Amino acid sequence: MSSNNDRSKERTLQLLADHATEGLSLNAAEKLSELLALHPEFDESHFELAAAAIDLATMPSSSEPLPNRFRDRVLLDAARIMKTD
Amino acid sequence: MEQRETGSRNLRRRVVLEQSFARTAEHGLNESVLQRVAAGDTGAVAECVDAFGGLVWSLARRILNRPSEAEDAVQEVFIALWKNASRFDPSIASETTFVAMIARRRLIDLQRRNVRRPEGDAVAVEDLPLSAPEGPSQFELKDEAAKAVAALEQLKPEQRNVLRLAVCQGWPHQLIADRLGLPLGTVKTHVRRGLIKVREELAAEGIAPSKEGER
Repeated sequence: MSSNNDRSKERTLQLLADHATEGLSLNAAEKLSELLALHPEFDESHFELAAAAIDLATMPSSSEPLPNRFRDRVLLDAARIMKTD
Repeated sequence: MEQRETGSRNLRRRVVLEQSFARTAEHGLNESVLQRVAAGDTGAVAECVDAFGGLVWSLARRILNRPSEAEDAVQEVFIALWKNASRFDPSIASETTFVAMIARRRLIDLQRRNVRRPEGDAVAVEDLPLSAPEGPSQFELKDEAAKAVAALEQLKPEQRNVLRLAVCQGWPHQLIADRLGLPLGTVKTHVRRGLIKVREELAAEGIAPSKEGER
């Protein structure tokens, strides 16, 4: 019983790790939802903070800034969204 | 010339961040730029783009690899950011990490939607650094990132390499297995255990709540 539970938790953690790195197929996402219902101690964003921290920690010391043409587009989008909200 | 422009943009980003912090202190506000965006402060939007635009652009270039995809992705990431700004909780993560989390989620979804394999195939695996780059990152190394470095240093080289390819380069697990000549199950185990290790380091600092039963 306990080993079944361990396997179920390991499967949940594996799907959460997949979700945080390569994303999930529709079937895998459904499976994860089922497993999360069985293991409420976990949630969908379980590893997302860790993955983001790794990404930030390994950013090259010199990166390109956002090109101005995208900055303008992004600001236009924001104005539209804030107006409709 | 290009370097000078990049340096000037980075300087502008730093000035914007400092002005933002100064404004917050001056007005006795505890609200971050994301919290002000969430409250509908239109002035905070440009501050936010100037502060985090480079980060989002870098993540998009790194994960999606194709400039044309990265360009569309930047817009989508910021739309997601405007819609999720109210979810930012400074007691859980820094703004930089929160922005990176939102960006990664959108970029991974876009990568799956585009189906094509990343151009990472062309990258020589042995050329990828195994440890954090020397010198300060362009982005402030917040507590979360510093802890991630500490956790990465404790991993075996193969495990660390797999984790970096999966997280930082956005390579699908099967591609990593193919390129490194490892069984897919081994790649998945390295990714899972590596993430658990980083999460444990973060939890030890109270950054991510510790969960029982992680192996």
